[in-house]
Amino acid sequence: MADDLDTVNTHIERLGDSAINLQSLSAQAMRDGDPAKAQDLATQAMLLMGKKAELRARRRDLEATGEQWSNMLDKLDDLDQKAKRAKTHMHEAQDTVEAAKTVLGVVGKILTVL
Amino acid sequence: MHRHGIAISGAVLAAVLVLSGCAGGENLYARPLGDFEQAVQRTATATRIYSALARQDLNNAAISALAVNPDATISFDVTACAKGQDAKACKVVNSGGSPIVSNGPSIPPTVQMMSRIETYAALLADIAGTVSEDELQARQKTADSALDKLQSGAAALKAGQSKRGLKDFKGAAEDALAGAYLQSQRRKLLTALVKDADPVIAASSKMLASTLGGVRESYLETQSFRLNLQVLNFNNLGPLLKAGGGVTAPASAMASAQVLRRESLSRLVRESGQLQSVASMEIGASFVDMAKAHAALLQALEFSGTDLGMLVEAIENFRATSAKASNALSTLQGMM
Repeated sequence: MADDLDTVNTHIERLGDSAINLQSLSAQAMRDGDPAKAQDLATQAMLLMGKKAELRARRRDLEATGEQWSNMLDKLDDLDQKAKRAKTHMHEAQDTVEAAKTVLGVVGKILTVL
Repeated sequence: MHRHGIAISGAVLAAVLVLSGCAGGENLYARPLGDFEQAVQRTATATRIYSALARQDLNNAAISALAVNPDATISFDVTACAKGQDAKACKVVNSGGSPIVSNGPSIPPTVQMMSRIETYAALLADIAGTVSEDELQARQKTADSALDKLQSGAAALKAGQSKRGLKDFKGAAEDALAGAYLQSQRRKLLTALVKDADPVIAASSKMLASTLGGVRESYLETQSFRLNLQVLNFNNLGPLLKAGGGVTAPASAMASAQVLRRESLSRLVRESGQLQSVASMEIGASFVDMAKAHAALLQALEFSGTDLGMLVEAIENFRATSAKASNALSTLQGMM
């Protein structure tokens, strides 16, 4: 996985550099009054950027299937479970209060009768 | 009788303070919680937009590559699609039958992660139970009603009246104590939960910011290069419109060039607008804001659990119901 990522990173960097170089040449061709060459070079640069985008997407997929990402998803799942339990506890506390109020009411009545 | 009056007055004052503290205005952590919820909503929306952009980025790259490849051909099963028996037949594909753009995962990992954070934020709001304005108003009404009961109960006691007055007073005092107990439980539960969550939210925010920041960077790069090429195409088509101006173009070529330039320009204007929107939206900052909002929520919760925090909260909440409470106290003072 780490090797894969390193390789992908290297390719991404090279593709980006090449695309930038081609774009510079395209701009130069335009300045030299050769629009056809400029367009051709710009097309090549755009295609390299497209390849770079594909590799970036592949890198994201590799990362998302990696250990760090899956650990974080597990932690967030745990968090959601904890939050659900806390919500249940809160409801239980509310029930307890209602029950206590009822008991207090009954005791009050008994004391009044006595 | 005078001593009895002072005792009742003291009890009523304490009950009013507790009551207004637990059932009236906002908690100290209500606003930070609302801020965190809003930050989560903003980042969740941004995550969905960026996931769509990532898809669009790859689609554009695939289409561009296909468009400039002179050997590439595409196909479409017109007969099958026209019969409407198989929706898949209506898809334009490569001549070999493979899809022109590949399908990504149905739910991108970033959206999956964000969805868990959204669930957490929604549960926090459920536990706090005081975030929405409607709920706050409902609680305000309960507080007002309890104060009314308290006031009438005290009046009945003062006048040595019926058991009903005593019942009202007891009811209000019980509500106040129950509210204080629930508030304490709520604070404890929320503090423990948010404390556990803080490092997780901070770390997941960083991961999402990094991943979606990468999507933004990639989108800006590929779209910039695509737009640059379209600009060159537009400019290079210009000479074809000049009849007799250096380049000799037949009328049909001129007409075609005009159509191409018009379509190209309208697409350029639309796409550059989208590009500007993405360029001006710093996704990383949204996630930093979300993590900060969560840390602020934790601070507010921890502070609200201290003696000073509880005092500040009681004062803040008392101020929130001050009009009603001061009226009640004035009436009580008059009665005692």
